[in-house]
Amino acid sequence: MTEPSFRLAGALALAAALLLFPTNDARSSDDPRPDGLAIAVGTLHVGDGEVRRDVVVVTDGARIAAIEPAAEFPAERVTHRFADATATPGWIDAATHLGLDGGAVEIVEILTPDARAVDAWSPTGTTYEGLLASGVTTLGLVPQAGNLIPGRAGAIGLTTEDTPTVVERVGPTVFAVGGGALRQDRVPSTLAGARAVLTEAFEGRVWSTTAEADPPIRDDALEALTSMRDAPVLARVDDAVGAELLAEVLATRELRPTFVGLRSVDGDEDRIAALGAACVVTGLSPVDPVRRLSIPGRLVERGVAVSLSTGAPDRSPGSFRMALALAVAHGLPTDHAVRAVTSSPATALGVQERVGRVQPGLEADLVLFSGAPWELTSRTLLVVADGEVAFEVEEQE
Amino acid sequence: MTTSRLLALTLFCAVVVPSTALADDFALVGGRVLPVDGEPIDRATVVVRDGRITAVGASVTVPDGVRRIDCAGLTITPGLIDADSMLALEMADRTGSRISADQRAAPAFDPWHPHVRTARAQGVTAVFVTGNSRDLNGGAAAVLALGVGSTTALGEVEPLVFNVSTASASGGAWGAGRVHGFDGIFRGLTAASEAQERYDRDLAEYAEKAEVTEPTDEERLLLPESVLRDLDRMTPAQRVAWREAAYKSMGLPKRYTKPKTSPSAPRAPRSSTAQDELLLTIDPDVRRPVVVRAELAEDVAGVLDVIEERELRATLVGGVGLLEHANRIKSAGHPIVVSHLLDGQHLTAGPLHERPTGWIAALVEAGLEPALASGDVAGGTRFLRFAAAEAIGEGLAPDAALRSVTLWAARATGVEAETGSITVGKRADLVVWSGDPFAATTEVLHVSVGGELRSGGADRD
Repeated sequence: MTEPSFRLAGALALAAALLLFPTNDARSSDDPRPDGLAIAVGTLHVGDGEVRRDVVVVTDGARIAAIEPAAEFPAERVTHRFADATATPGWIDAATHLGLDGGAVEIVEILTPDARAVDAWSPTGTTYEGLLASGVTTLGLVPQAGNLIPGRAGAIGLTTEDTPTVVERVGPTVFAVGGGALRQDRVPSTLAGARAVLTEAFEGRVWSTTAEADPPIRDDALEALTSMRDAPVLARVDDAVGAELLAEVLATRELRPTFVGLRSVDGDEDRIAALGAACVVTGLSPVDPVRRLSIPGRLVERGVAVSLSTGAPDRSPGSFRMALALAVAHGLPTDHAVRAVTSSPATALGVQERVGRVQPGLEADLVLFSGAPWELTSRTLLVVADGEVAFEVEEQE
Repeated sequence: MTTSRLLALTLFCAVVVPSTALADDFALVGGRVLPVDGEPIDRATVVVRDGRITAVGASVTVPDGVRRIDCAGLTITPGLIDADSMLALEMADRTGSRISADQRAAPAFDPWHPHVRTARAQGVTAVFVTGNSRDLNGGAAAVLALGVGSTTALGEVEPLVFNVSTASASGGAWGAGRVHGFDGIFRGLTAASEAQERYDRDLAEYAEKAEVTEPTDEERLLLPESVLRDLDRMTPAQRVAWREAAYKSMGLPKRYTKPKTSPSAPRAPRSSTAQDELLLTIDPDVRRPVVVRAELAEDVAGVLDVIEERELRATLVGGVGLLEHANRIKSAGHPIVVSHLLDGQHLTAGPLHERPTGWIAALVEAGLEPALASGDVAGGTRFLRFAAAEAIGEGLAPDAALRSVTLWAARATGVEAETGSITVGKRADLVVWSGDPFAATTEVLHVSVGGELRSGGADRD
């Protein structure tokens, strides 16, 4: 039985390191990585599609310092050797409400572009250890779609510390016409209404037909919108009609959407692909119909950059890996599998310069599997988050 | 696309997809056979005739007239069995009505349900279906083969299901109160069977004292022959009871004399069909099997107490709570089913879902043989192989994982004699995979359900 022993594993690794190097003085004085790990792996998925064989990933504090060919790397400096393992960047769940108080949604006002998901996020409300053990090192916090503009996404880096680190407080603004954003009991309740409200709001005006129907919109919110131009945004949509409408409205301000959700686009993948945007497919689970599970594969086939995410709060730690396995079983090509959970979600969240790839200078988030990362049968052997060992399987090879 | 359109489409597909089912005999030739009850055999042949496995091995010759299916480079396993499912049960678990022991799951099964086809497409050939996972009494379960448009029960008896604590039980349904209710059922049954014994005794005593006269020839003319035959076979006690009821209902004069000591015949204890079904579980000659869902560890303990006291033949269905009592379960020899691995419920946080990494492997290490099950309420059964894959990813040996969804599942659900391994004489429930059955990249190429062969994605959406 493999018990996840987070701090214990960290402590053991530290103890092992101390045994090898009793004090810092004992190391060669020219060692530029006093706090670094050197992890030897058989296969490395860099995260952007590139695959390298027999390399040592060297970290320096919280950053990746170098990737060296194993043959040229001094064996005695390797801290973790997993010659048969496959490494990927730490996984990024692109859109989740995990730890968000009430889903972080302000439903009284219909436009809250200044609400930040990270402000509603509780670092202690959830146990992140299971997620780390499954290889997830970054959470994309996307406020739940309860209104037209729920607010700004953020990204949280998970660590073994009690308080995970904030990778990016202020991510892309989220627009939503899907996931329950449109409701019959208020304005806007239809896609047409959403178009009208957004079009007017971009011009600093409140759209309404009668005084009684005035949707509650603050001046602050309007001000934030009128200055919004030429930026990446997240667009939560359910289907192709919503995606096309939102893309058209956002284009008027040169806002570049990444679609999030897409649970009902099966059959309309051509229309989504025609919009030229990246997509985050949320919440694939074993009870979904086959046609929904095929959406990631069908979008990739059409040249769309696809990310996966669990979407909803309170998912079990394994559900992200389950989502990827389901997507692969339904046509997501394996050479796109790793990027769908690493570099693509990093780009969607605007944190591609910090996480999502194994590359010198980026954060030292790394997961090692016993086999193909998209196979559920592969064991998680080692998880490094923020340069620290967050999980290590008990019996090492 | 709306759900209804989607549903309409899948239903449409179900009708227009031409059936590739073949009734003839066939042989799967040259594949790697994982018989599950024995060592893997490379480049082996499995011969199927009349729906049964007639030969397995590397040096088997295919008889004349038997269709050969080339399986070189492919993997052949027994069909997977989901040991806890709601697959294709219309209305089951949604009615909210109280289920009683005489309600059966099998008749509610719809063999044309789209989920049957999609489950078969992923290598599932049989499911253990229970009518209800919410009420304390879940009715009578059944193991059904997933043939095309047919319902075939694989077990000889239908076990009775009790839901003590379950992932899908609605508020207030779990906890000590439920164990109390479970215990109460059997206390009631014991009381009922004692009352019956007392009645039989009293009646015999009464009959001895009563002066029973035989029916007159006149009366015999009025009575149907079958009744007369029964009357002649009855014990005096039974005859008294019968006469008292029958003569009264027919308006005939009583032909017996009341005993002096007692004013009237003893009254029969109340009984019901449901109670009769339940009584079989504690009848030492029958010991009808029971399946008890108990997910919380404290409930497992309470359930084991009841099982022990009433000497029930029980299978336990649960989750991580089973691990805490693994030694006790092992020494009592109860089969176990680990469920709700794929029904969406397991994705939700909660006390039942804090499952330590590697807990299924730990059950196996403790000497148990857990069957893995989906707990399906919405079509999750088809990814049973992924439930097993997850367990492998947490340290379960792949051969144990395969057993957990085949042989151990058959054992836990009482159909081991029929299916669950590639064994001569068993049903031809077989799957031909393009590779490792648990890999996402693997495809199902052929599925045989009792010799009915589906090939080339005939069951896919």
